[in-house]
Amino acid sequence: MPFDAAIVAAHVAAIGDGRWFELVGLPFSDDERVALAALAPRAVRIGSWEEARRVADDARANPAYDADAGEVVALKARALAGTAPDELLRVMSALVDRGLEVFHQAAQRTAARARITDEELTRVAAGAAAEAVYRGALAAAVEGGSHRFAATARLFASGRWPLARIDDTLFVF
Amino acid sequence: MSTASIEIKTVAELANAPAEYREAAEKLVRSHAINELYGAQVFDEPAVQFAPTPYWKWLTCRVAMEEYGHHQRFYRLGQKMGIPDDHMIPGRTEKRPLSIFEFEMKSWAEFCVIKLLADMAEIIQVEDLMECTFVPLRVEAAKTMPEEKFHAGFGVKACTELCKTEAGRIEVQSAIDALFPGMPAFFGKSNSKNNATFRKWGLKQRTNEAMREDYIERARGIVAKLGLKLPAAA
Repeated sequence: MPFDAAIVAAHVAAIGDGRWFELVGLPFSDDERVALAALAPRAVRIGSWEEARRVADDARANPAYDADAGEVVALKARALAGTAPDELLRVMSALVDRGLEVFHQAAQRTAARARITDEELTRVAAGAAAEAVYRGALAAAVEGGSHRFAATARLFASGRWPLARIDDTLFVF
Repeated sequence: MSTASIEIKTVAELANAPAEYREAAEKLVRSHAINELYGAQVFDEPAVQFAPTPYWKWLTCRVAMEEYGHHQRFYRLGQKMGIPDDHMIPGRTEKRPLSIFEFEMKSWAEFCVIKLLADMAEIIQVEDLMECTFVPLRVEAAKTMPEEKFHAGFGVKACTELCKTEAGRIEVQSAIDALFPGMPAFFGKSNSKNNATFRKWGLKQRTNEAMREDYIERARGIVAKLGLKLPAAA
């Protein structure tokens, strides 16, 4: 399908409604288990911010991260097939603008409840959310909402932080 | 040299300021809008691919966003001042970004050194703006400062991590040797007419030479703490 800027605009509008990081550390619900099963054969819950830092800093997660980065390049190429680079930048930049304060403030709020005041770690969380939302909107605008990036972005918006995929296991905070 | 008793509290008041003051304030805002965006585009965004783990990739992603956010702050101020949008976007304006952005970054160590040394230079510039007579610019500078300090701290931490191994230490020293010679130019020419005008109106407090000397001293200190050395400046 051609790049649909209206889908990205809808993602921008929805950022304010997200429950960013509100569920981190909590047990998975049945609905979440179904959503996670579509992303990886096995999902493991991460229970604390400290553990989340260790998993995110595990170099064994790099192959899956790099595969996703390659997929972003492919999605952008498809978007650019029917959209001028300046226009794509303008449409996608709206996600960055909208999320700039929202993601970091949400991460700070949730971390503070766990008595975590680490400015670096909350920035890492905000960066992860921004990246996931950007990729999710791009994928939805090019391929539709069933793309794995769109599913990952929905997990973030529901309050989770999918941290890393190592082999067949997805670690989720 | 600054003898300015003038203080412009709002963008609306700027319309009644002397033409030379208005032009000087516009030059400063344009420069910050252009260079904050260009830096994010040529250093921070590309550095995500070099970062060693998702943790550092996401942190770099966030830093890129914050640099972009700094651009947005100066850009919006510029819009309120009546500066045309295209005059504040690199590639759309004839004004070139700072020469430091011509540095061709090729590794994670180089990015970490850019945060260590280039963001420290930015801090010195922003410190000066925090005493600026154009209050809206002073306010934006103050909002920007905590994030600039975090970015420079990121550089210190990341370089410290790299220096824990001999190979990493060599890589960081090599990056310092490559980047630093271009850094003093970040502060502009000596005896700069623009800087003289900025100081005349209290938009800047210090000469380019004074900021450059301050920078070199601070850079020498921070690099020494890593057990490394500065090369000669270009």
